[in-house]
Amino acid sequence: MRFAQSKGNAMPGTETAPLVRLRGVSKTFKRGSQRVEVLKHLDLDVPRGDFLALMGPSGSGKTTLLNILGGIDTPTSGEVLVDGKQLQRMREGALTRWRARHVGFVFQLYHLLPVLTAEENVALPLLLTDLSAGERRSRARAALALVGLADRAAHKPGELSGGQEQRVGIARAIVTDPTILLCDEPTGDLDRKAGDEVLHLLHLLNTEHGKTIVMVTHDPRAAARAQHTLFMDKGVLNEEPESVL
Amino acid sequence: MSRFGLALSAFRRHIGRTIFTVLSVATAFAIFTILAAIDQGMNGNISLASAQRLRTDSRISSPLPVSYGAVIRSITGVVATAYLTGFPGYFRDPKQEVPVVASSIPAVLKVYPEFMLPDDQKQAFIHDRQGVLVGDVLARKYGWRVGETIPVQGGPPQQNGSTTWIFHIDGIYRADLPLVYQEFFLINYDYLNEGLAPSPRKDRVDEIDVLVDDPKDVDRVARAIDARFSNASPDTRTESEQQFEMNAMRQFGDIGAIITYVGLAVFASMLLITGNTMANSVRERMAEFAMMRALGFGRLQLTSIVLRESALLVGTGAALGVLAGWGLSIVMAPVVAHILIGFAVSWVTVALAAACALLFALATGLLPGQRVADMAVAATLRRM
Repeated sequence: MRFAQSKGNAMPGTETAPLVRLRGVSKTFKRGSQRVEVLKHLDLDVPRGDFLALMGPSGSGKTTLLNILGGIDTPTSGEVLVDGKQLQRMREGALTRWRARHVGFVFQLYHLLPVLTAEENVALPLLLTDLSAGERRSRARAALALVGLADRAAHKPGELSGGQEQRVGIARAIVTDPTILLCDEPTGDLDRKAGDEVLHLLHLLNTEHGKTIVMVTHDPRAAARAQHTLFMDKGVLNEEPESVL
Repeated sequence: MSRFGLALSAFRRHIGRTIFTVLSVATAFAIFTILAAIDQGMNGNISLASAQRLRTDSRISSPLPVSYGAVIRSITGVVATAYLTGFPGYFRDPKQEVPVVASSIPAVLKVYPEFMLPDDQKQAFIHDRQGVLVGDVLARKYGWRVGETIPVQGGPPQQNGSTTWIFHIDGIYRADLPLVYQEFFLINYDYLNEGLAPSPRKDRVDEIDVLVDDPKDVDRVARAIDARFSNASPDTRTESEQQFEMNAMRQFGDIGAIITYVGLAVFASMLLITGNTMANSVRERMAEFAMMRALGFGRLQLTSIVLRESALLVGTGAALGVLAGWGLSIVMAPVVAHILIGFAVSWVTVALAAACALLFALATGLLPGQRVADMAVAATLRRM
């Protein structure tokens, strides 16, 4: 069994439990009569405050792993601990509430609601909280300011560039101050300049705001912005690309 | 933005589709409202009918001799009788119709206690053979006042050959009765009968209205009246006022069933259109719903958002439709009020429309809502 350890940026000398701990995680999909094992007995530790990039070819299981970490998919077997919670043991309702509180998702295609303004899109997860309308607005504006889009609050996604849309997506992901940010190819749909801006923003969120980030990417340049990179191939995590091993 | 605002925002995506769907729902509910008003109009005729009054007319459509009245009054349980006959006259212009109704005075005021007017006007009418009581609706229509002399043309020939009859307005009554009764031009039968030139209508009336002392007794009294004249010519047909109204309505056919079938067909087509709109709307947004599930929205929360959308769509259309139907009913009322006496949009209709709207919102929102709830989040995001 391979064991992947992401070292994180914990202060030297401090021994803390990893934020994410996977043990023996497997995921099998049924495609017709065939069973396809997408994740094979994975072990993974991600320390609090880490910025981990997951690289690998298409179909290697990166996004499936990300979905399991975010509680929107379940492993076929194995144990998933995030911030001390065993996700595979949680009932769906509890898992949904946990996700709202602790996970921020950033998607490759942004998935912004086209009829809402940037501010309304960012405030969307806050509808799940007890905050008043004024507080929700105030937090959404703060998140937009953090990603450098305070002046675009009233703009709809169709009026923004791709890079700006992704920054709105990031603002939406961080507006609830989640424990972990899960980014699925956040620069995959952006040109180089916009991608760099987004990566810079994620870097700032990690280094200055202490956000733990797990990012799936195909792009080595994006992975280079992370603190650590793990490589996935055929459902197995490696610390080096398969070709190097 | 609230969750309500979120549901509302869905309709801004395809404004054209939203408008046409709302219009189709509005059309369905406008038709429903008008049909309900017609149904109420039909039932109104019956519900407003007195439970204590009988109508006796000829079984062979010929007028009844006035002498029948005295015979009927001798039957146990009969409190009073009033002849009712008349002619369609007009005031100055044939288009200004005047429904002249001649009756026995003062018996008619006992048989129809619903006719309300000041006592001095009542007394003036009783003592003035050429007098007339005018329904307040008719009086308003032609601007008539108490004390005026009204020539009514188009009547039956008098002994002097004239067809113009002159009356004095002694009183203006108000009646909690169907509209047709509020437009009576009520004259003294004796004055009409005495003035008539010799004709088969002399000493004869179209019907005799009978007031019975106990509503439970109407069937017995009706049978007794018809039994008394079974060997006379003409023999009579007596029925309760309510039965008369029901029979009158049946002459139009089974309108109740037609209303039901048309209403069902309209609602069925509306359900298909709205259901299709909701299904398409949700299908187009599955990735967004998957994203929302990923953000922490639960199955029930997303289903409730979809249900709010369908409630908004159907609710807006229903509200517009009922308003349109109500407006249309106001326009139609003067035209149909003579046939459909209770024709109007009632609060019961509005409540029924609201209940239907709620039901249709559920019917059109539940399946798409279920689809959203059952969605596999990761698989949906992967496909998009």
